[in-house]
Amino acid sequence: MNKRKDSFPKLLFLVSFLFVSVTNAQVRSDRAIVDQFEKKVKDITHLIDGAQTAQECVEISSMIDELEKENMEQKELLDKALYPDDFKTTLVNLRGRLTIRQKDIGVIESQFQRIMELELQVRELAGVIDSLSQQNDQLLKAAKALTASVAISSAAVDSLNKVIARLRQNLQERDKLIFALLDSVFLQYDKDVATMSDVEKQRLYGKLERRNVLTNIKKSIIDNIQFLETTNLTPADYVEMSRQQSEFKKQWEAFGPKLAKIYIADKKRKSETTVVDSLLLTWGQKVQEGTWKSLATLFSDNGFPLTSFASGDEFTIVLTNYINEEIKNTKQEPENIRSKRYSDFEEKIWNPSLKSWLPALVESGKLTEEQKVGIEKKIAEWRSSVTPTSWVVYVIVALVLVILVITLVRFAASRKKEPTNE
Amino acid sequence: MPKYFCSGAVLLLLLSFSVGCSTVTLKPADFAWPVEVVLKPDTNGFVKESRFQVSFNIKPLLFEEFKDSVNIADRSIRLIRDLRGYYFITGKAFKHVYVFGQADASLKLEKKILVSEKGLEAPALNQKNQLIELIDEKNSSVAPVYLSKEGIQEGGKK
Repeated sequence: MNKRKDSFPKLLFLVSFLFVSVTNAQVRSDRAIVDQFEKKVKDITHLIDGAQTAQECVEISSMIDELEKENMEQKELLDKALYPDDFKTTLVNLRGRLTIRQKDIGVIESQFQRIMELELQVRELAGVIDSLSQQNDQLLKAAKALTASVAISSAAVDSLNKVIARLRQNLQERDKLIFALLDSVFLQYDKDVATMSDVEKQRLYGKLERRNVLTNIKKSIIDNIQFLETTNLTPADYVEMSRQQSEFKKQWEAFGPKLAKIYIADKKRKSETTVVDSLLLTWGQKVQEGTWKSLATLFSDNGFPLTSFASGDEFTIVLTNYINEEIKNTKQEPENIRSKRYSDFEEKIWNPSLKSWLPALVESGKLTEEQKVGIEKKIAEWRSSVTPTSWVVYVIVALVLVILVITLVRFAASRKKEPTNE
Repeated sequence: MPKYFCSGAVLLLLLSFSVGCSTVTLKPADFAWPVEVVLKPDTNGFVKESRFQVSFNIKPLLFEEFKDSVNIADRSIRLIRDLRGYYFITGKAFKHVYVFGQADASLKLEKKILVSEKGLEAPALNQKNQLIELIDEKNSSVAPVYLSKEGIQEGGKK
């Protein structure tokens, strides 16, 4: 209980540590800069003296690094103002004190190094995630603006496609990095959340908060949903989005319960983990809807309006029925009209799009292999029902018949010539 | 002969007089404090700066500024020394910055600079390019004022 009490001010300090510089007014007195630096040094000194675990030591080490980084610009002032030490000596003293503390509490160097590496990785990943988030915001805006101008200018299509490709890549990259970061954070503790002490949980909570983990997860899903709302997505985009959504879901299923345990005391954050669940569901639905909508548009825009469909089974049935009617010629149309319609289908739908959609749909689990093969066979059947038989085929059949007749005649003749034993 | 003797004596006198009056100047000298100090007076009105070992009584200063040298418990002053060795003093609710020079076991007022009609809210003194920069931390829209012993050098009303 005491430990828990002790850790609260520490946690408060940890969380506020990064934000202090943000709250500083534009006009700052040199005294305020010096006082703030001295206060942080004092706080870190207290943390060092109270450190109990390797994780704490790593965090403190990171704090010293951050303190150095954020005050580097003020080095000249601090060198003069700090007394009797200067800026560098103050940091050297802090690091020395930490090393002594580590030895006192028996932190093994290799363990410290491993956690330190993970922490550095976390910091690096957090930086990349932030920068990707900024880029993605800009790309999403650009994609929306270009989508609007696509209708007016066809030149915008190329730019839009480029933006979409870049955005897709960025979104994918950020998704991966978020979970890599989460992985690095949990790896530092090397144990299951259930077996963690309250202090460790609080520390982990602070770390997750500092790196905006939950916010980034939510943002990532929302951005992916927004991405789906841009037009001009190709079958490959949908396949990729579907794969990405499944991968994200899998990762979330692994980390979500752990996060929920960490956020158990924070109602707001706890409820946010359920928001992630529903956002993931929306994302999945949007991928699904977008896929079928885009496929339906492909048919209707090219003069083949199909009955509406919203699943692989429905799509297979609707398309098969449509082709069956074409084959049976239920409208009793002349041969040339039927033939023209098939060649339109081949030129506008099958060759440029549907051929690549089918394997993509199988890959994303929206169609089975059997359904794909069935559709392909049906299309081949349609083709043969409207394509007149070539004269070459007639010649070949005639030749085969002639050969067959000659063979039979010769066979019969040879039977007649055979002498009887009687 | 006495004439030459007289002239020689006068010359010798003048020479010895000039040697006795010659001063040695060590320059350049830098008296600047890197950062201001915030000092609270004790019950007798004394403030003490421990790093540079300066102490003095601020009651006369508070009387000059507020016409009150009795209620000093809540008062504090901000003190900085410039490159030339002058002490600049101000504080919360001060309308002036006081510039003092070092005298015989005392500080002698050199200049009283009016910097705010209403009184400063959260003043701070910084060392900036051989001048003393006065800022109001709660009033970031107000441009800094740069001061020297002669008065306002940049910003504010000269």
